[in-house]
Amino acid sequence: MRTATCLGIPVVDGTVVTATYASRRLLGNTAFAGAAVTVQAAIAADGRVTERDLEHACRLQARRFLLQSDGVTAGWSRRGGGLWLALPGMVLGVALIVASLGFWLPAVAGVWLLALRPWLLMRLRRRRPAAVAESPSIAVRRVAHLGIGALREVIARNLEENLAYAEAYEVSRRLGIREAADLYTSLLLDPRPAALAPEDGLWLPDATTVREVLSEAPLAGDEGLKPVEPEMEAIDAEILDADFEASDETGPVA
Amino acid sequence: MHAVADQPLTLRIPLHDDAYAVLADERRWQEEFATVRLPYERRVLAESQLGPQAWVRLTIYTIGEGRAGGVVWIDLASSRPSSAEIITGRALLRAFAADSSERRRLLSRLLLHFVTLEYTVDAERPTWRVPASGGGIGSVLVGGAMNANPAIWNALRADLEQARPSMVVGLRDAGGVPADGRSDGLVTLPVTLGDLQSVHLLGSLDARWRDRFGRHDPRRGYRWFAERFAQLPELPASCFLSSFLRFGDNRTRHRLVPDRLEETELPVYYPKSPAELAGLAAAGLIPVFPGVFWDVSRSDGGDPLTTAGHAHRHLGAFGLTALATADSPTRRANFLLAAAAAAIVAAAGEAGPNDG
Repeated sequence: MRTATCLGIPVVDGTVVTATYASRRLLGNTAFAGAAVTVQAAIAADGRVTERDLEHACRLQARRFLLQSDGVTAGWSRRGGGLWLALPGMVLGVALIVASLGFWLPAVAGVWLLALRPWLLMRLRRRRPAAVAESPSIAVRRVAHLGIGALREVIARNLEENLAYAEAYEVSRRLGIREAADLYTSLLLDPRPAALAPEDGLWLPDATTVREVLSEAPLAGDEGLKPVEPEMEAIDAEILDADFEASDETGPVA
Repeated sequence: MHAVADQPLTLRIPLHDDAYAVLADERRWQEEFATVRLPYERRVLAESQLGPQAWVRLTIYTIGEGRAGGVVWIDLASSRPSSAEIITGRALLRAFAADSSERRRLLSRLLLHFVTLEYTVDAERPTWRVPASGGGIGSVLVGGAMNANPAIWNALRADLEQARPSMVVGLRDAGGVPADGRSDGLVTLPVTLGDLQSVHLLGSLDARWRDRFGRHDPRRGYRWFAERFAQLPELPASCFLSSFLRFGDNRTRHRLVPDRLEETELPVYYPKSPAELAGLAAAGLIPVFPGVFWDVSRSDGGDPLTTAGHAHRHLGAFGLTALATADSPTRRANFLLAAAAAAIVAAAGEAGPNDG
């Protein structure tokens, strides 16, 4: 079971969930197939991000960095490597067979080194499994983070976006949260969280913010669509009277 | 998905540069959409933000009679919709709104749901970026994830549970991935093989894909796999998808691994070296036919963080994720359209003849 940490870095109107650099490295060294990971989601101790949203974002972050692994492929040495390792032994085997002069013991040792040992090494290498069988899952555990809490306060008390990010950058540098410092640097260049690179994290809106539904805002191609009012025929007053009279005949309803 | 023979049905939705430009032009699309939308039943599933001003709308378009019981649910709602995905969605809508005997036959058998995610008119549109930079198959697979926006994902999941599709197709633009060479893309299918078999298969990929002299030999690998898993129902479907993606209408011939790519053949991805095989094994993918991979990364049915994997695991649906990797957006859109067409024809074949 691997453990990774995601930070819920506060930004204006939301939170960017991103894996720490150490976790990215750790996950990058783990094969995606069959990986079991527990993600600690470190966020400010407020209720701005819902549990469910946080879990979803953390799982996707873990998946991203598990898949973008480089260490796993490095773990697979080239097939020729085994033969190179066996080569000195094979040379020694030839030498032993030549020098055995008919004695069976050095000759058998030579055959072992020349043929049997390289064959056995190759067989074993072929059977090496690609991934350790674990019960695969990505679980998420929420933990409060004081540093992230301090950043949330900075963002909340600054009304101007750029000022908020500049101050948050300073605080994150002071607290040693490099991921946050880098994120705020990106946001100082372009304050739109939607413009962040996918690797920088996932933006989540604040749960406390009312999610407006833009039902009035048309989608491309909707302009020609107008709600159709049902065509209703005007009912003649005389018919209404006639119906009323007819129901009267059945007697009043208690 | 049971055995799928080479279907007499066919479906081509080609998208040339000019057609791509028309669909990418908002004004012209608006004019066309007024007519295109008429045969569809349309519902807005959700509206949410990708950023403070970046509003998107998740819409489902439903068409078809589904007399033979097949329900295909095609998801184009990636975390950040690319132009290739948006245009693929529009091209699909346009194709099935057009009247042709072939489409009528398909629509009489199937009920089709197209789920699209588009920016609202007044929304800020962030520049699209490749889902994962860097090379390797892992970077391609990152782009296959389910939607990252929880509100949108919840709406998608709720609709999936309501629609109970027999096939779920995720169409994703993975961008031009350098490690993928010149191939246009690949398709992954979540398959349940069990822990032991998955680990054994992934571990022995390298050995199976070598000839007796130790050289990398894709033909031998594909042949071994086809013989070993001939009894699995997913195998004929995978074979069909591969031949459809590669040859389209000319799929009467079939070669396991192309020697030379032809004009009419889509250059799909297949591992060309032991290093690529190792990357596939680490990601839990087994190459089954050129361009088609079984996802056995989890013992109970592939990657659960894809729409196809989720549907396979929770609804027992046949899942499929198509990942377009070509350099040009037009080629990526064409690959996604070819994958959608292959899945639709396969589903129609599975549903059986019931043309009324």
